[in-house]
This record gives sequence, structure tokens and C-alpha cells, in this order.
Amino acid sequence: MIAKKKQIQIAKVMLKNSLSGGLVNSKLVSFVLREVISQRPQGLTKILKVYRRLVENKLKKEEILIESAQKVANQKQLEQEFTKNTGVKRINFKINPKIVFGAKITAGDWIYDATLDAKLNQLTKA
Amino acid sequence: MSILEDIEQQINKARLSSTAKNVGRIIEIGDGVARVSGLSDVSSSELVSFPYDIFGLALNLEEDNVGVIIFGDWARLKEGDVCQTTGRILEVPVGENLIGRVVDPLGKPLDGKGSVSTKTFYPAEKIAPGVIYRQRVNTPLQTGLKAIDSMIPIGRGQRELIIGDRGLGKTAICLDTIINQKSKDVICIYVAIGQKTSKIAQVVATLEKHRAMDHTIIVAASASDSATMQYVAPYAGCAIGEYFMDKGKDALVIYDDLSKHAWAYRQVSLLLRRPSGREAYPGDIFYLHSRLLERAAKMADKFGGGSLTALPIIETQAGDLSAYIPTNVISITDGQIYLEAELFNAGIRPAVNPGLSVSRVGGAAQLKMMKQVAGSLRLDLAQYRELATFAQFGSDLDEATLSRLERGKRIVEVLKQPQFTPMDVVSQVVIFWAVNNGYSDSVPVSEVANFQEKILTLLATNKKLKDYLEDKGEIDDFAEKELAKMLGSISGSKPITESTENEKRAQKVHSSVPSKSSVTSVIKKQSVSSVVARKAKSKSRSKSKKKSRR
Ligand SMILES: Nc1ncnc2c1ncn2[C@@H]1O[C@H](COP(=O)(O)OP(=O)(O)OP(=O)(O)O)[C@@H](O)[C@H]1O
Ligand SMILES: [Mg+2]
Repeated sequence: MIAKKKQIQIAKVMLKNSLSGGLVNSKLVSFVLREVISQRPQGLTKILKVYRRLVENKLKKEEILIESAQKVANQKQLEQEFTKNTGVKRINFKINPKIVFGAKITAGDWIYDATLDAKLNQLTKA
Repeated sequence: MSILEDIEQQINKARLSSTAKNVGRIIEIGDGVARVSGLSDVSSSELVSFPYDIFGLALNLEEDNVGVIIFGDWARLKEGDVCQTTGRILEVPVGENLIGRVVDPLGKPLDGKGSVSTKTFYPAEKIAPGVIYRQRVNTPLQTGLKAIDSMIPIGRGQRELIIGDRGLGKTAICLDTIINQKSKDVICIYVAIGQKTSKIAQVVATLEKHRAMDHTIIVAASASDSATMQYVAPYAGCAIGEYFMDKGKDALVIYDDLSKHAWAYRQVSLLLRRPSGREAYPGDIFYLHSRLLERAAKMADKFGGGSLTALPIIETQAGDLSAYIPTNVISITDGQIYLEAELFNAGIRPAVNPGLSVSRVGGAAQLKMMKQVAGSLRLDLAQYRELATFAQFGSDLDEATLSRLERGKRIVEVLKQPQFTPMDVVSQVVIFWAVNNGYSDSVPVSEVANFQEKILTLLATNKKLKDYLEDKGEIDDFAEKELAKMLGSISGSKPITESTENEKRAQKVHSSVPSKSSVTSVIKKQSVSSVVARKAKSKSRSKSKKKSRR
């Protein structure tokens, strides 16, 4: 139990050291990884697993996924708006024919759903 | 209006909006507990929805994950499944339609009588009504059991613990109480927590047989249900009761039993990896039961005047009242009914120990006539207990002691009561009055049950007296005369009236006064002389010590 807490602590310190300006920096990540592996602490694989999850969560918060049925016309403009308002780093666009109509935005653990599918769901459940 | 317009309007009414969902992913799942990453927006005790219409309750909010306990079939969920917050807390359906039904803690019917249609939902967890909403307990809740109604009276809005070992009739007392509420406008809720399904079925069958399901709701989380279900069951039952209380009615909720509830909560919190304390229970085990039992209340008349009475049950191991959970619950409740194996095995059933049982508020809620007869009853019984242990050693006892012993034996006999035969207050009062006034003293102990039957049949024919007592609620001169007249007609029962007996006692005391004082003076003299002798001895001893040192 104590060992596990220690591992989580180490992973958190690693995450802290791999950020620059609040964002995950790939150069720093590889540096931190090299450092840790060279030191060979106890339970290395476990630490790396936790670290992976932390980085994954962090990355998720940094990017926004916009799903729509068709290609969005004003992609550039949208991208600018989003980066200005939310301060995220990357904006991914995805075409998902299942949506049929509308759009769905995923940011971290929030999903903003304005698709026809979701609206129909609301109708049937009400 | 065209059809299309109509549809349009309906859609507008539904107010479709784009939704914002807060989602998470299962990191780890097992034993009914899931660890979920994400869900940054979840609040404590919020419902979380999983795939397959499975719901969970967020209990542990940690830095980077959330501990969720899951209702229903958690085995279908797997790592990586997406869940989302619902913005709702756990709610249970409540309402009149539940009466006569057997439901699980989430309100799903278990009795195969079709769905339960209720429109109202109450939160399972709710803050108990505050001081200004309450009034003191002032109306009795008749259990129909002579031993309890006379000596440990329960009032509406009270919390009375029923405690005892396995198989001593704890459930039996509650069932009798439910049966006795027939046509008395008290809605009963029986919450079965962690019991065998066969026992729950038995309870339902018993209540149905005695036509008591017409005012009863059963909330069941059996031993085969998940610990989560068992954990929320009492709160759900309480919420159902609160609905009736808020409607200004009287409700009675029975938690059978809270030891198993504590076990379920211990399991849940160990799986959530909360730190454990004494007997591996988590730190908030006290709060678990106190917040539940605090919700029992008698509302002030301004707020409807309804009431919620709670009868929690705790099972002890080998009669140990000082174990962790029993002491906790004893300290929260307004008294306890303690059942003892020794009494049960001696055939004294219900096996209530009147010495260790108390009711801390019920006395105020007792009818006046019951108070009139029960006061001396308790005293006589206590004296009998004391004398009975004493009389085991001595052979020749004086007459007063003997008569007390005989009276005590008859009281014990009268307090025995078979299951499923609750008795109304007037009958109880009349029987106690007869015993107190010596009508049973000449009846052999083995015949006391018959004697009681005789009184009951007499009372059944004497409707005038019965109605009078019911109306008045006290035994006045007129009632006393009528009672004496009625009981006098029972053949073979010679009343030794209180007055003559008291006179006899007084006479005895008088005659023994001089001899008593002479005895005490002798004792005093003896003690004085013995003290002098002791002092002399110690002096001589110290002298001899000094000598030996030299
Ligand atoms: N007043 C009574 N007269 C005769 N028998 C009784 C009486 N009360 C209870 N019993 C009997 O005692 C037995 C145990 O009763 P009950 O199941 O109510 O006990 P319990 O304390 O609830 O047990 P458990 O701990 O298993 O829940 C039953 O067989 C019941 O018939
Ligand atoms: Mg029982």
C-alpha cells in the first residue's frame, strides 16, 4: 500500500517535470523518461503505467475533438475561436457519418452534444 | 391546426437542447465497486449512469479518480466502459400506490403484481427535520404486546431499538406491531436488510395471512442482493415513510436489521479503500445510523402533525450489549427493548427483560389508564425478580414475601403472549387491573392463561364498560366499581382488595418495630465492641513488632 502511494507520487512528480507552461512538452517527456529509467526505481513498470495515464488525461484536456457528419466549411475560423476561448493546444476534426446532423464536441471529460441522434434520444426518453 | 403544426408544437414543448455531458471511463471494476477516471464534475452521492441502464452512486471523490458503488449487475461492465454524470441524487418512488407491495430499494416491484405507478419521488438521503418542525412525542403507538405497552411504551415519532441474540423473537415483535396497526391509520414499512430470501417470503406470507399487507410496504434487499442495495435500503424505506409523514399521517418503519446494514457498509467502504477503524468499520459508521434514525420525528401541528416512528433491530452476539455497533445505536435511540435468551428458553415469550429495557420518551405518550395500572406492575415485577433470587436460598419466608412472590409469578404469566395475538389497550388495562387488585392471586399459576381468557370474554360482553374506558382513557371511581362488579362474577377468584392487604402489611410493620430497633441496637453494640477489640489487637501487634526489631 505504501509502495503504491510512493509510485503514484513519483509519477506525479514526473508529470510536473514534463510540463512547460502548463502544457505537455514532448521533449521534456522523453527527458524525464530517460532520467527515470536510468535511475531504475522500484516498481518501474507500475510507475510508468500511472505516468502514462496521467499524461493521457492531461493531453485529453489539452485537445478538443469536434465530430460532425460532413466536413466543416469554416474549419480555420472555428479553430481560431476555440484556441482563443479555451486555451487548448490542438483541435482535431473528425467526420462521423453516424451523427447524421449537427456536431459533437469532446473536451477532456466533457461532451457537448448537439447532434440529431442525441436530440432523438431526448425525445424518446422524455 | 394542421397535423404538422401539432407535431411541431410537441417538439418545441420537449425543449430539445444540445446537451453537455460529463463523462468518465472505468479504470477498474470488481465486487460492485468501480474506479472511474474523468467525471470531474461529479458531486458526492450523485447518480452515475453506466451502459446497459446500470446506475451507480459516486461515494469517493479523489484527486484523479472517483469511487462508484454500483446497483445491479456490475459483472456486465468492463474496464474502459464510458459512464456519465446524471445531475441527480438517488431518489426513490413514494406514494400510496406502494401500499401492499414488496419492492426493492429502488422501487422496483418484487412481488410480481405488475409495475408500481407513482408520480412522486423522494431523495433517499435527506436532512432530518429541525427543531422547530418537531413537537414532543405525545401519542402512543400500541404494539399490542402486553409486556411492551405496559412497561416500555412506544410513542409515535420515537426511535425504539429492539436488541437481542439470534432467534429470540425480534422480528416477531415487529410483525405483531404491524398486525396491531390494522385499521389504526398507521402505514407500516418493513425494511429487510441482508436477510435470507426465504425469511422475507415468510414475513410477507405471515402479513398477508393476517391481512396486514393492506397497510404495509415491504422494502427488501436480501442477502443475495449487492452490498450497495443493502446499504441504501433503510434510507429508501425511510424516504417512503417520510412521504406519509409529510402528508400528516403516521408511519412506522422497521429496519430489520441494522447490524447487517453496518456489515454491508463496512464491505462497501473496505472495497472503496477507505481507512478502517475498530472491528474494521469505517470512521463514519456512527453517522451512518444516526443520520438515518434522526429522520424519525413527530412533526409539529403547524407542519401537518404527521409522525415517523422507527424500530431499528440490532442482533447481538451472546447478549453482548457493549459491542461496537450495539453501543452506538443504543446511544442514538430513545430506548431499547432487550430480549434475553434465558427468558426465551424459560418459556417467557416475548422474552423482554424489563430491567434492561427502557423507553426514554414513551412514558409521556402512555394513556392515563395504562399509566394507572402499569406503574405498580413494573414495581411488583422488579420486587419479584429480587425476591425470587433471594428466595432460592431461604426456606421459611414470611407471608408478605410469599404473597409478593405469588403475585410476581402471576404477573410473569400474564405478560406471556403467543405470536400474532395482539391485544387492544382496554383489554390489557382490564387484565392488569385484575392482577393488581388481587383477583388472580387465588388462581393457580397454570390457570392464569385461562383466567385471562375468562376476563376477555366477560369484557367482550360488557360493551358499556369497554366503551367507557375507551372514551375516558382513565380508570375513575365509576370504572373501578364496574370493573369490580364484572370481575367479582368470575367464579373462584376471591379479590384480596388492596386496602385490606395494605392494612395487614401495616400491622406487621407495627408489631415488628420494637424488635427491629432492639436488633439494630444489638448490632450497633456488637460493632462498637468489635472495633474496640480490633484497635486493641493492632496496638498489641505494633508493640510486638517494635519488640522484635529491638
Ligand atoms: N411470543 C412468542 N411466542 C412463541 N414463540 C415465539 C414468540 N416470539 C417468537 N417466537 C418464536 O421464536 C422464533 C424466532 O423468532 P424470530 O424469527 O422473530 O426471531 P429473530 O430474533 O428475528 O431471529 P433472527 O435473528 O434469525 O432474525 C420463531 O420460531 C418464533 O415463532
Ligand atoms: Mg429476524
